[in-house]
Amino acid sequence: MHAALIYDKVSIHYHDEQAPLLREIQFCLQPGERAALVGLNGSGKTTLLMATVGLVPHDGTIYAGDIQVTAKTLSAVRENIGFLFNVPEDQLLFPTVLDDVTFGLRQRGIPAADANARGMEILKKLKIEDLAAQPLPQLSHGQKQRTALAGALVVSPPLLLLDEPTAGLDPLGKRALAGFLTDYPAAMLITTHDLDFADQVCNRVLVLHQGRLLSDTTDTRFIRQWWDTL
Amino acid sequence: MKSHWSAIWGSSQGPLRRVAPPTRLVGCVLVFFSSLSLPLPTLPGLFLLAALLLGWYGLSRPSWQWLKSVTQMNFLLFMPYYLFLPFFPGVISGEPGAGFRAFLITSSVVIHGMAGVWILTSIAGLLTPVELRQALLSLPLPLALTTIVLQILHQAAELIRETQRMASAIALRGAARGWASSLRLLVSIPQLWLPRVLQRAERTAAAMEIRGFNPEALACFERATLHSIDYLILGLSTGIWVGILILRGTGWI
Repeated sequence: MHAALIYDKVSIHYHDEQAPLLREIQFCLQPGERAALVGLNGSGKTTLLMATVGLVPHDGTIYAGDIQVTAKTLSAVRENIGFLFNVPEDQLLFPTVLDDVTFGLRQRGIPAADANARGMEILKKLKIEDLAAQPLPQLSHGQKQRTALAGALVVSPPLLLLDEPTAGLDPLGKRALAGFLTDYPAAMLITTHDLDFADQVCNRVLVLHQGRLLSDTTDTRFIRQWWDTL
Repeated sequence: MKSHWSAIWGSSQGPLRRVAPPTRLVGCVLVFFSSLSLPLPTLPGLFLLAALLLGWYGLSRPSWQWLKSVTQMNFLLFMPYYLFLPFFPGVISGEPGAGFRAFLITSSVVIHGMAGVWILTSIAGLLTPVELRQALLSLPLPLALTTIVLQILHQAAELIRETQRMASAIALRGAARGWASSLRLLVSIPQLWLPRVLQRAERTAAAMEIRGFNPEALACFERATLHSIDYLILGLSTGIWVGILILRGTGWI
């Protein structure tokens, strides 16, 4: 069986004259595996996710499923990835919640009625089905976050890249999200500062520090201790 | 306008809300052309314009809050035109009757402009954003144009919120309220607002790329179907416009 995501000596430079933001990152995720990517602000977590979908150029090799991420394969790579930005407003492009959530399905040629039914199903799982007809500007940050997540999940991608999915969520929303992601059958790479959430959802935690992969562990106690020493 | 941008859309209560979205949009544009074709500020022109506006408002019935906001905006936009009266060529040289002629010309521009804004902005009350998309998709317009219009309107809501947050922050951080606060906000636009807008545009473009959003993608959304009432309204609006052109061409008004 192929890995869901492979980083092989991935380095990222923002400017040629500066030191690389990320240096020779190397790890892989198996299908169904859920990993948290933690690190201090500016450690390159978001950049690594962006590189995976081809929004940031990288050195080294990234495989999403069987497909190597290159300029020519981007559309195939992106079709298999559900991506959540850390600012949900940026990825909401349609006037109402259901419209936005079902876009991915309609684009794949699924009839409107089926797309709406599938969209409602996802909204129900994320406990926001009563917002289906709501105009997006009237939603709170947490509701927008869940709408964006529903839009990423609706096409059932085998790989999810979630950039701080708990930012702005209330405890109820966090609990619902954790429960949902734990049952969701896809490989996930989740950037977060919330170690309790990482403990609940992920079976592996990766730590980025000063451009390198500092640790790859299943136990967040080490990270908690390390954070206390900083 | 302090009212919530998204709350304005589809807020009208008139019978026009019951016809198909493209009929509302095209009807509105035809009424706008009719208002532009009226000779102003002649007495028959003013009378017909008043009838046109009253008829249009009766059919669309926008909310009072919306009407108040648009009227305020109209006065702010067009009243300053009268400040240019002393600078008309004849007025400067003291030509007899030149002041009155300048007043008539300015009034024509002001009344046409205000009527146009009143009519065109009523589209927001007549259509929800989803209906606007349906209307635009049902018309023979390039998909790229439809996409741009819809994204501008969609992103405008966020930009308005961003501007309101900035205005609140400026007020909270010690700047005076009222006009002074507005002035500070205006001055801060190049330094604060534009970079934020550009960053946001960059992030949205990235999201569009990842979500496979392009003009052709809009084709997957529903179009509206027209019924006999729609054809009747479109015929009537066209008739009004053509009628005004004929009356004007034959010298009746």
